[in-house]
Amino acid sequence: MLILTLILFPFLTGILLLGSRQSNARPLALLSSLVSLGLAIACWVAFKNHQNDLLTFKTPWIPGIGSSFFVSLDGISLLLVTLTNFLLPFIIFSSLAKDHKNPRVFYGLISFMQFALLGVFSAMDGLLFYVFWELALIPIWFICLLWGEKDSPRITLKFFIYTLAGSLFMLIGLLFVYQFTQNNGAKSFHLSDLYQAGATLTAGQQTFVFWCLFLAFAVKMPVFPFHTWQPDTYTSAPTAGTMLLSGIMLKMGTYGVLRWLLPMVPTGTSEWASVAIGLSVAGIIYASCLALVQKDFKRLIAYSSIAHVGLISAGMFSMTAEGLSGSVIQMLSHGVNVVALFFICDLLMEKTGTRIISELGGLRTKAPVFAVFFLIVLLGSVALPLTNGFVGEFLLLTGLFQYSFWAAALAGLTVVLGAVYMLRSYQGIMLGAGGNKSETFTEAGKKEWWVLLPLAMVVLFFGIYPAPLLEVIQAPVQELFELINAGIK
Amino acid sequence: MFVLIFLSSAGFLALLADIFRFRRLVLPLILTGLLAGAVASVIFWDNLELPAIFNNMVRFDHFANAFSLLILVGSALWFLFLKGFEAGEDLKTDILVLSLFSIIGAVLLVSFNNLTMFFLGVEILSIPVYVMAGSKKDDLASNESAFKYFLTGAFVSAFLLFGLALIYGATGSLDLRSISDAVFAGSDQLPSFFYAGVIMVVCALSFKASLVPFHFWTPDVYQGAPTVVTAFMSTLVKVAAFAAFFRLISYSLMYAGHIWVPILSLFAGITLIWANISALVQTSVKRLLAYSSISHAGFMVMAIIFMNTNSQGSLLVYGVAYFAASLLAFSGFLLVAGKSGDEGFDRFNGLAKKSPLLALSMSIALLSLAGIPPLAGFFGKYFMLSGLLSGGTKWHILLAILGIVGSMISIYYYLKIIIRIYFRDENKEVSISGNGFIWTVVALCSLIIVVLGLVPGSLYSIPFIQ
Repeated sequence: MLILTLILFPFLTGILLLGSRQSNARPLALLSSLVSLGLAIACWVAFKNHQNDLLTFKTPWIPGIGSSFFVSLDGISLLLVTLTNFLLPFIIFSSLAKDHKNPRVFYGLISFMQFALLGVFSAMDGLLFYVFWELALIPIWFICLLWGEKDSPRITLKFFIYTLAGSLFMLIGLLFVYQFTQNNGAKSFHLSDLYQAGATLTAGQQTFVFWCLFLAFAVKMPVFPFHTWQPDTYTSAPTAGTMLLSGIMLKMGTYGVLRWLLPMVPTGTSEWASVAIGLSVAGIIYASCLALVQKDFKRLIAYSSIAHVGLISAGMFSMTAEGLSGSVIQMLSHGVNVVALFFICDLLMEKTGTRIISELGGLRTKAPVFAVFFLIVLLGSVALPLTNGFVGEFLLLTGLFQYSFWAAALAGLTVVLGAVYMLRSYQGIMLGAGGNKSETFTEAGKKEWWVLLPLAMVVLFFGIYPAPLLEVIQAPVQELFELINAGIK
Repeated sequence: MFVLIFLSSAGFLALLADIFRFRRLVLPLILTGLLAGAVASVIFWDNLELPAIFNNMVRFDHFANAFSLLILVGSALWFLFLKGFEAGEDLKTDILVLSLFSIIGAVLLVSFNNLTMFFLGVEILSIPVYVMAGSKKDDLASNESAFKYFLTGAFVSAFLLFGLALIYGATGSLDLRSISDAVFAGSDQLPSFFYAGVIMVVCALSFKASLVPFHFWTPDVYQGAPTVVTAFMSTLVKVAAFAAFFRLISYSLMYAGHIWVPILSLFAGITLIWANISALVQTSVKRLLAYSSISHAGFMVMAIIFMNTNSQGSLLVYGVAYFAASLLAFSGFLLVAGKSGDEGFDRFNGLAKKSPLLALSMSIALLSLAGIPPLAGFFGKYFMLSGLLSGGTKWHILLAILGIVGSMISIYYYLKIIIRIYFRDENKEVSISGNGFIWTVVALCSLIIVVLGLVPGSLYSIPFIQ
């Protein structure tokens, strides 16, 4: 039942917010996001005490087709649920000062979004997963559309159609596997039944399912060449929307690969893994090169995000134990880092009115504390040892190396190029002579401390001491790895 | 059977309204008739013995009762919708009575057990609608619409009748079950004109259901007719036509699948692509809704193509979802269009600022039509695709992929309206003036879409016994 409370709480909050007064919406949203975080911590306690009945809920939903409302948390799901509920207070807090029009709808939509994300990360039923997956799209679409920048209708329409197109193919793929399921003579959408049915498919059928599912996840992550919606959408969305998209929603794609693609059709995946890795690596280099020449800092982060997620994807498709663990850890690190970076970017915009790197400069002298925070977050993003980014990327590259030396060598460029574009932007913004718009910048205030300090601490803590994370994911990743290897024909 | 009796009695009583001057009572009378019919089909849900007295001409089995209920509840909503928009003197008794007779035809079409009754149902359904389409006598477009509809419809009736006659000639019976037996027993020995008969019937019904390439009358007729009548045609007539199509094929021509499956699959494939691409370039909301209704026909016909035990449930869910969403979309359109007669998309601009609730309902309708979960429209499409994939052949999968491509295209034009509603600056010319009837329709339709989206199994899992 705990898990049901965890998932439904944001939904109820969303309804409450829609009905509340405009002036109450902001504190209410923040409060409920903190309660959500509390619920996530309660789930951890239950998890540590092996009270699995608290973390599983199942009831028939559409009995006629063997679909049930079945949600459950294992190590991987729990980490992503925690990431969601951990980032939400920061996302809401950082947007509080902004004068968003109609805040009750804005925060109501964010709560609905949280509800759908939690559902995606915990659904153990194919149809339920698909419904939550699509449900997540509607609130974020409205957030980007209504509170975005001028050009947002065109951009968000592209975003919507792109992602929906991908996920409709996922529906076909899931339905295809579903036709082969057997559960006491009836068909079933249960995850384990789908796994079993997937194992019985021939290599050709698995290939079909692989491409259907891959398309959906590749658009969501996004993997090159399905990424074209991403930079525009990230840039034009309001900061809270960008944070949701990059920090959490992107993980829907990577999580989908781990939970729904690799174990379901391992043979098809291993046959086409080289193509998937090829695309991911191509995306890494392509996005890194584009990031090098970006003038707008927000756009630069958007491209760097494509590069990072490309590495996660390449590591996952290497189907090695290291690659899988690395991908889970990197999902978390990337979520934290990218939200912090977008927060910083938003801060620059707010205080100086520009995000163009060349118009800024010399901010370090005005704001030394801010400079330190910025540096920590940035180093986490370029995966310097002793930051959280390092652990994940190291494991991912190790896994990829076992798959192919050249893939690892090329993917490793992301670390080099990442350091180049990130440090160069730091140099441009913080160091050197003052740019023409730098005068108005001020030192980090209370609000900045509240957001940046916890995030920077997470960056450093899990960089220096990643053992707790590794310990949690060890068992589920091992299980996943064995499941995949057993399934490869 | 009681459904037909109640509806006909209400219809004949209502005809007397203008003579005995009780015009005000006509609508309550009709609604009572519909309600009595709905109650009857619930009470006699399991009463399968009844048909013997009518020489097996009609048969109120589960399929008939379920679709009668859909038609009765749907038409009750449509009458409220009509009352809301054609208030006062505009609402003539004859329109009310004509539509009621058309509904009788619709009920006959979901319950026939004999080809004669089937043909009668088609005619009873269609003839009043020809008149209704031309009910704005001084409007050229309305006249054109009625004329086009009548000419093409009459031509198709002839086609249909000829096809039915050929089937009768080949199998020696008009009874659905006997035809089915004859087809099953002698699938090799049937004369070649049987095939011609089946093809003619399938083409004629594709015409009524407006599948591409027999759709060309739809946009013009829908655009020209008064909008309330267009709503009637695109919801009630459409759903009834599909139910009849389904009933005819599943009860009598099931074993002649090798003839109609390829033809219908081809029609469905072209419909899904052609209708959606055509919808992209429309500049009139009414025409857009016409093309959208054609594209939904491409989905509904899938229930016939994959024909298994789940087909009826799938068609029922799709029918309810489509009915509610279409009626809601037409209400929204009429509310923003007001008396202006302007059919442009501009009327939707900035609706969210004027009436947030209407904007929300309109978004629900459009998102459901686009098939976004967890609304009812998604499950309609989902059950269709799932049924197709259970067919298992390459062609089934190909058609499912065409369905996906079609709905992807459709998302573009549905979302375009939602973007206008929420993002554009307010259109100063538009003022929303609804009344209680309209808001009831809007609220009920939204409720149906959302609730059916949460518990789609409720309708899908109804046990259908023939």
